[in-house]
Amino acid sequence: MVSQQSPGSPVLRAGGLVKDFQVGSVGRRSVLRAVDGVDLELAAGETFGLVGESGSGKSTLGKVLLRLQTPTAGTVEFEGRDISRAGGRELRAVHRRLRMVFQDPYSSLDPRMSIGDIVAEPLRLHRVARGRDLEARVTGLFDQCGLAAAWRHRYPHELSGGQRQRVGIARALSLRPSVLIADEPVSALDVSVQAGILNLLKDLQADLGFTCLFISHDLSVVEFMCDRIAVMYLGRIVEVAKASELFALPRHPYTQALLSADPPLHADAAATPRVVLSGDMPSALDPPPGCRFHTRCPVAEAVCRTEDPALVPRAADGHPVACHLVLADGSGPRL
Amino acid sequence: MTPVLEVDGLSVGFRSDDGEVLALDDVSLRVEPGEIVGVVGESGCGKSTLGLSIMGLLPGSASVRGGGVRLGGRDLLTLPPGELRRLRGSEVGMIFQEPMSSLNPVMPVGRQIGEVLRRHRDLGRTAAAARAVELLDLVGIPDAGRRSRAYPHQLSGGMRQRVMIAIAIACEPKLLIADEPTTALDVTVQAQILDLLRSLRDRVDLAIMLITHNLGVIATMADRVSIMYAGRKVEEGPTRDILDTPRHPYTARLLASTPQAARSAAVSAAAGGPGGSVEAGGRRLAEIPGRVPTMTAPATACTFQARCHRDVDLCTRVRPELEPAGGGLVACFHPEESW
Ligand SMILES: Nc1ncnc2c1ncn2[C@@H]1O[C@H](COP(=O)(O)OP(=O)(O)OP(=O)(O)O)[C@@H](O)[C@H]1O
Ligand SMILES: Nc1ncnc2c1ncn2[C@@H]1O[C@H](COP(=O)(O)OP(=O)(O)OP(=O)(O)O)[C@@H](O)[C@H]1O
Ligand code: SF4
Ligand code: SF4
Ligand SMILES: [Mg+2]
Ligand SMILES: [Mg+2]
Repeated sequence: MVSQQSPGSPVLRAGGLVKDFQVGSVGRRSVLRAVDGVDLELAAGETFGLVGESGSGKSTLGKVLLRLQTPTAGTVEFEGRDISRAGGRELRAVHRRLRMVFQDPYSSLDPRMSIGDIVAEPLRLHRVARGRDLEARVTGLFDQCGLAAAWRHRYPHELSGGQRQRVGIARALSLRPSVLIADEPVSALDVSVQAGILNLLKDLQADLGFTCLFISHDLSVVEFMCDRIAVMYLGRIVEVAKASELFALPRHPYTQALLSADPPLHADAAATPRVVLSGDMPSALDPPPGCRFHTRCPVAEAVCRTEDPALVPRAADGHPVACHLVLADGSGPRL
Repeated sequence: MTPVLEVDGLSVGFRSDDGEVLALDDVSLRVEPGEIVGVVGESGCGKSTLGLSIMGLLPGSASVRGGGVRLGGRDLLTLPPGELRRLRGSEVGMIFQEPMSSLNPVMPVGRQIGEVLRRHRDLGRTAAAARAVELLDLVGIPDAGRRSRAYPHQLSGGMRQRVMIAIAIACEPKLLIADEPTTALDVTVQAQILDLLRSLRDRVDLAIMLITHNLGVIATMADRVSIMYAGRKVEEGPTRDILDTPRHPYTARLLASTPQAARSAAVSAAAGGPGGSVEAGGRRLAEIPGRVPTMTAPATACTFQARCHRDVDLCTRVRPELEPAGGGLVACFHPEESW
């Protein structure tokens, strides 16, 4: 049974992680809980996927894990050290090892810098390399990420979307991080361009051995990339499983709806009935009591409206699900 | 039966700093009543330009270089402007990817629908307001009477897209052009909107031209699909045929580059069939090397030639035209045939 526990020793561990934002105008302030008590472990070298709908808290969780934002409560441990309150020099050191690739290859690159300078910048800022050594490192990164060395003097606007995303990846990997968080890295790209970026990430991970947190709302992309997957809904993780298990037998009703809403390409899959949920995801400003999914769940019962289900192993294979109706032997509602 | 839409050899160019860009190069398309026709292709291949040409919404930098558009059997290019506007208002509606940018932020949504009805249908204020509520109800907005007084920012993305659909079908057009209608929406909301479009087709026999780069959406929605590449239509046919047995090398490679294809290959390898390796870590996606060319003049060779794995000498010298193949059409001198 490896699925509830991550296979190796955890590189990154979150415990009871909470992130609140103050929103609204003065006098009418309210608190938006974007991440609501998340427990998570990333094992060394694995690719861990986060899926869920817009506003479910995926990016915020990524940023808090990376300590680009400070958690409101809970802890983040990196290689066994608590970094949740790290600041100054300690935080700088953390940021050398934890790096991020962003969704939009257009806005995430400084338009006034050449792409060679963009890739070299982290090496300069963290004083890792200079002069000839720096040049050699940049050339090496260009090569690894499938960028022609001759393009070093080009600017982002001279590149295609896929090429820009390669620059973003080269920049993120320049410091040889131990964890890479890729937040929707292919969502802005065409299918055929996406294929090149996903292959590149897989190859680089095989060569460099970093751990990857891969955020996406595209289920087939996540299935292709990830070893394990967590499904988020309104700031909570509702199910965690090995990719193959999750797709073969999704247990949480929301996971089932999400998988069935992903339109399949081929006839065999098209024959399976689709579950169409009614309504929208509730506002994170005013989350429903009990199970957060009960306002849209087709099988909700009375208990769901009052009792908040815990994310605990409920299946024979040990994979955790947060649903009252999923029993200890893993049986439960099928939509 | 008269097709609701016939596009015949349409060419459209955009003026740009580096001369003219030919966004559509001799494109033809037919949509029958009640039919859902998918238009697929990569970013920049001309999908939106096709939709905008039909709507008469091309920007000033664009000009029609040739060909024509017929709606309900009437030629748009020969109609006087006033009649043209009326015909378009009643024959065809359009929805876009980002509903927020097409809605007026300072007007309640019910009134926005009402204005359309009053302009095209001569309805009085009260009748228009009542019909607006009916339309909101038809597109599945709960509590439509109250919601009709809401402003766009008070609605979710999915509800805004429903409002756009209500506006587009307000005058009961026979054709709806939907340009990436669900790309900005979450998958579960996307499923709701697709369901709605399908039910409108079934209930009011609406024909839909569905523009998207999402092949999964096409698979579940379209009766027929047209594949576009660099401003040209390269393949067309019944959806299942195209997805299961693509004939144009571009279509074949596009489908092969999806994660779904990698999964099928792994499954078939596990079952002893041909295809990729089984373990997930070793799986790779099939890439299409090279880039889509920017067209500045009508093609004189195959536009996919530089990236094609089947390329024959003829492909560099002569432009392939659409020819019947299987149940559809394909523009290729050497189509895939191993099916
Ligand atoms: N800086 C901020 N200030 C206020 N609210 C925020 C801030 N950042 C995020 N939020 C809110 O927190 C919630 C979670 O947002 P987040 O961006 O993490 O979601 P996501 O799952 O990444 O969504 P998407 O798929 O759209 O990227 C949302 O309700 C969002 O509006
Ligand atoms: N207003 C414009 N001015 C100049 N060129 C334009 C304009 N609009 C589109 N083009 C060009 O015309 C071609 C076709 O663009 P179009 O928007 O129709 O593509 P598309 O298939 O809809 O792409 P996408 O999937 O990105 O929406 C592109 O090369 C584009 O750069
Ligand atoms: S706890 Fe209840 S409402 Fe929540 S997912 Fe399970 S059945 Fe549905
Ligand atoms: S015409 Fe030739 S180059 Fe073009 S797609 Fe067919 S085989 Fe390839
Ligand atoms: Mg996000
Ligand atoms: Mg477009």
